Order: sequence, then C-alpha cells, then structure tokens
Amino acid sequence: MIDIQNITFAYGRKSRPVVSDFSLRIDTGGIYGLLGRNGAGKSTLLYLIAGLLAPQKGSVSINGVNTRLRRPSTLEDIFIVPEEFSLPPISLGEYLRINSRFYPRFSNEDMRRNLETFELDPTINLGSLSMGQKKKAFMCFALACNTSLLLLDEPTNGLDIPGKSRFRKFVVSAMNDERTILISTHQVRDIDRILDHIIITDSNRVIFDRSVADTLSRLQFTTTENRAEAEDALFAQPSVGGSEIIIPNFDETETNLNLETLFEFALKNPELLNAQFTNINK
Amino acid sequence: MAQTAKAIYLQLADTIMDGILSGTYQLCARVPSVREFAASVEVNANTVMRTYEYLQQLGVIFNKRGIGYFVAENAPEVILDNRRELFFHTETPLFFSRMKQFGVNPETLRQMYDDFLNQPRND
Amino acid sequence: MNKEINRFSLHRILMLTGIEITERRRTLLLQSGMMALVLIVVACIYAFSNDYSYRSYTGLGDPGTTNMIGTYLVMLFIFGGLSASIMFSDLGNKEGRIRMLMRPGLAIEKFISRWLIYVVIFIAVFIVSVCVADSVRCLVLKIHFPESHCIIPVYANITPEIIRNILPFHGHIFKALIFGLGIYLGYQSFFVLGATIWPRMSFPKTFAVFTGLTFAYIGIIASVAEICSDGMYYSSKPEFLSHNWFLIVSLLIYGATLLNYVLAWLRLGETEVITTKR
Repeated sequence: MIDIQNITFAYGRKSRPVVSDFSLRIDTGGIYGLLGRNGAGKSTLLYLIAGLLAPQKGSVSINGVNTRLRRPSTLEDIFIVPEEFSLPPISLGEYLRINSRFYPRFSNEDMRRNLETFELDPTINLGSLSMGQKKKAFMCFALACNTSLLLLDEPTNGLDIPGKSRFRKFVVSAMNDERTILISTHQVRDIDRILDHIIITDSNRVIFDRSVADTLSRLQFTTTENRAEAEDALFAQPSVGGSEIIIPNFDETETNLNLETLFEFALKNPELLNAQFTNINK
Repeated sequence: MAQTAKAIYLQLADTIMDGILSGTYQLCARVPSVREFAASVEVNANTVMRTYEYLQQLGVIFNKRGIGYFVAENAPEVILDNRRELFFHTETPLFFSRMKQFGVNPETLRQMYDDFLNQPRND
Repeated sequence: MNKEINRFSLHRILMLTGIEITERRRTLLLQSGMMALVLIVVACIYAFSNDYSYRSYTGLGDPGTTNMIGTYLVMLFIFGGLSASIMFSDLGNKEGRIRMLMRPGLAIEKFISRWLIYVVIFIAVFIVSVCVADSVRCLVLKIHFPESHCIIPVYANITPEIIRNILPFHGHIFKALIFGLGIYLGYQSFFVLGATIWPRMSFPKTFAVFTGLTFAYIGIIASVAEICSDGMYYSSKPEFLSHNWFLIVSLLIYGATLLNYVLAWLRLGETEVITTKR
C-alpha cells in the first residue's frame, strides 16, 4: 500500500543524499522495523513517507495517491507519533473531543482499552504529564484513530521496562490485516520479536531491506564457543561464553532471529550480508 | 559445536504444549486466540499463527471456525508421542555419541536408570 | 467517496478554528488580557496628558474624544500587526510543523481557520478591549474631576444618527470607512504573509521589510510622478473622495490584501517539516 518509487532526497544541494534512487514496497498488514543508529536518517525516511518532506526525485504514494499532495483523504489515514512532541494544556477528554473528529475511524472503545493497557487515567490533564506518560497517552490516541498507516519514531524512548513490555503488547494486539505499522528505532532489542520486516539504515543510506521470513530462510543465528567456527562464520559478535554468529542457512533449519547481531552485521559488512540473498544456493 | 536457539514459533509451541501437559490449558477447552497469545508473549502475530498451524498439524489443537482454537481431547498423548519422536531423533544420537566418546557401558546405564526410578522423586 | 473528503469544507474550517482556540486557550486569554491592560494604561496616560481641563471645558461632548480615537487607531494598527504576526507562531519548531501539516485538512482551510481567529475575532476582542479601556479612562477621570459633566466614553458617540449617516453606500463617511478598513487590512496582510515566511520573530522582521518597502514604494512613485509632471505634482491636489479615484485605490488596496492572503496560503501549503536550506 505504500509505494516508494526511486526517491532521492538530500537536505542541501551539496549534501550527501539521505536516500538515493531508493524504492520500497510496504504491503498492508505488517510491522516494519526501521533500524539505524541515532541520527542515521530514519526520521527523514518517515517524514518522506508521511509527506512531510518532498523527495527531489521520485515519489511516495499511499494507495496510489502521492503523499506530497497532502490530501485530507491521505492525511486521515496516516498517523505519525514523532520522537518529540508537545501536548496542549487541556484535559484528555477535551483533546479527544476536538481532535478525534478528524479521524473517521476513531473509536472511543479502542481509546478506552488502550488507556487501560497503559494504565492511564482517562481524566488526566495533558499538560501535567511526564514525558513517558505523554508518549503513552499519545500512542493510545494514535492507535485509536485506526489509521491504515502508523509511523512511530523512537516509540520506546522514555519508557521504562514495564512500559516497553506494554508497548510491545500494545503494538502486537493492534495489528490486523488492514494496518501497517512502521517503527523507527535505534533500540533494536526493544522490538526484535514483533517485526515482520526489517529495514536497516546507516550513514543516511538504506543498507538492508528484507522480511523476517526471508532472513530466517537464508541465515542461521546461533552461538558457539568454538573459535574456529566463529572465524568461519559470516559474522561473529563476542558474547558471554563465546560468540554469537551468523552463518548461511545450508540445511534449511529455521533458527531464532538475533536482531542485534544482524544489525551489527549490516553495519559492519552490508555487502556480504546482502550477497547472501542474491546467491542461488546449491 | 554450535548451540542453536530453536525458531521462536517452535519455542512458543513448546510453551503451549507444556501448558497443556501441566493443565493450564484444559482438554477440549479454548486456548487464547492468536492475537491474545501474541500480545501476552509479545511476539508478532504472524509468528504465533505459524505456531498454531504447527500445533494444528500435529493434532494438538483444532480450529472451530468462527469460535477459536481448542485443545484436542487426546492432546497429551499426541504431545508425548511427538516429543518422544524428537527425543529419539535428536537427543539420543547425541547421547549415544557421548557414550561412545566416554566409553560408557550400556549395562552401567541400565543400572543407573533403575536407581533413578527407585529414588524418591520430588516432582 | 474520496473526493468529498478532499473538497473544501466550511465545517472543517470551523473544526480547525475550534481546535486552535481550545488548545491555545490559555495563551490567547493571556495575550488578550495583556492587550486590554496596555490599552487601559495608554488610555489613562493620554487622558491626563492633554492640555484642556475637564474642569473648565464648556463645549459639547468630551474634549478628548478626537485624541482618544486617534490613539486607539494607532493601537489598532500596532496590535493588528502583532496579532497577525503570531498567527503561525507554532510553526516555529518542528513539532508544531508536524502537528499542523499532519492534521487532515486542506492548506486553505488551515489558513482560513487561523485568519478567522487572528484577524476577524481579533477585531472583536480589540473593540471590546477598547471599550473597557475607555470606560476605565472615564472612571479615572471622574474620580479626578468629580464635578465635570463632559467625561463621555468614546463608544457613546455611536448614536443612531451617526449610523444613519454611515448607511448610504455612496455617502462620504461610508467611503472613508471602507477606505480606512482597506488600509488597515492591507497593512495587516503584510504581517500575515510575514508570519508564514518567518514563524519566529515575525513582527520585527515583517515591520522592517514592510516599512522599508513602503518608503521605497512611496519614494519611487513620488519621484517618478515628480519627474513626469515636471515639478507640477505637488501643486495640484487630487479630489480625495472623487468617485473614480476612490474606486481605483480601494480596489488596489483590497486586491493587494487578497494577493497577500493568497501568497500566505500558498506559502503555508509549501511548508516543509525541516528546512532544507544549507
């Protein structure tokens, strides 16, 4: 439903492009992870998708409509939760009353349930919330609007451990076939089990873009204490009692995705990583 | 020798099967929906879907359309059969190769097993 | 089905206006209060700094009326410019821009909703504040000169008679009012445009550019006119309220106002969440 076609975007005329001839299709009904170190251009990609920025070349369309047109029909089907935002000093009830009218699929019932999940009091005043509470409250609203596309920029920043756990539950239970959630974060461990698809960026370039299923069919993730095995592997990361390694999936056994190791692999040696997906094995 | 973590959908299948064996999920009773279970373990619902399909394939649970997934009447037997299979397939070859490596006599093993059975068990 | 949502909607404009007023309730009240306070202080200062004495005045009406009206007009221009300058102040940071841009609505609707508040509703608030300020002025004067009979608030001058004089559309007073309104809206529209170009510190920047442009404009036109008429320009006086002159100039002024609004609306629509310069 999101069709990113050959977009090129740079901040200034002389700057290095954030994305260059980048294309991506994001289908409805998936949780996409946009991973990268801090300041790696992840927010920029989100803004390009949302129509907040215009690519110098190429286009981004959602359901066939160019997002840069900023049509109300597109806008009421996208919700972006930015990394930093402020809420007006009014009560939550008032905020919902005036803002929910812009989102035709907003559901009060969903809102109530979401607040319960995060253990937030419905009678709160938005002006007096802590950063973590503000994030939770806004995310409750974001999900209750039932937009087809949800863009979350660093959603686990500012959440404590129970909060992160609730966030995961929240996102997993909100998923359905008509919805796409794009989570941009540098805290890879926070979301590793909930993703359908992984996109990794580095130095303002997209260096990896595969589904989890694809990744697990081509790569095996395992740990070893054997030094030789670690050296032979595609990638090895030292850990307690040995190394966490990535090897090609030669016997078609599916292992457990280690997103953190994959992430480090992508940053250190993206060519080798991507080569695993183009080789025709055996 | 590499230690490989099982694919997550299989780990979750183990969790549910353990739950059936321990009585958490009653026989012929409804198990949580895919989405409910996914939220509780904080794993992508598509992965949980694979878990449920796998368990359905084994015959541990079955699907009543429109209502949900239910524990099969003979689920405990099915689970034990399946685990026994896996035991023979994966654990025993490894055990036997170690036996060979350390030169362990099968008779010694027999004796140790008898002792194990006679010990007071703290289940 | 989709087309309806993307069509211009008065209802949505009202909803947007409602959001802006509710979410910025505290700030707007504070700003209105400060404006009222300033007007009160200015009114009182001017009341006392004039050279007639309420004690000895023997004429009709309040001797200070003309001066007060002039003062209030100057205040109108100052506060009108300020109000327009803060029209898009929330676009001064990234969060505010994201919020405004992602809100489902057309750029023109978002523009009009702000215009309703900071131009139209502002005038109503200003008029109320002036009435309050003038009442306070009269109160203070009455305390000072208890025997005086000529302390009259400015708004008391709006009698049915005056209104009957204004109504005829071809009358002088009506023409003057339309012209004056045009000057005010035209002047303010530059600040509206400035607010979309410079969301932060809009008032001083716009004022500098506007003043500079105005002086440049007047200077150029006057010089050209002088040269063209061989020095005869200043000796002739155009008939101020002659029908054609009035019509042309009014059209030009309202046209310029509308042009500024359109430019501001377009500029609003082109807002990027992150400035891509440099």
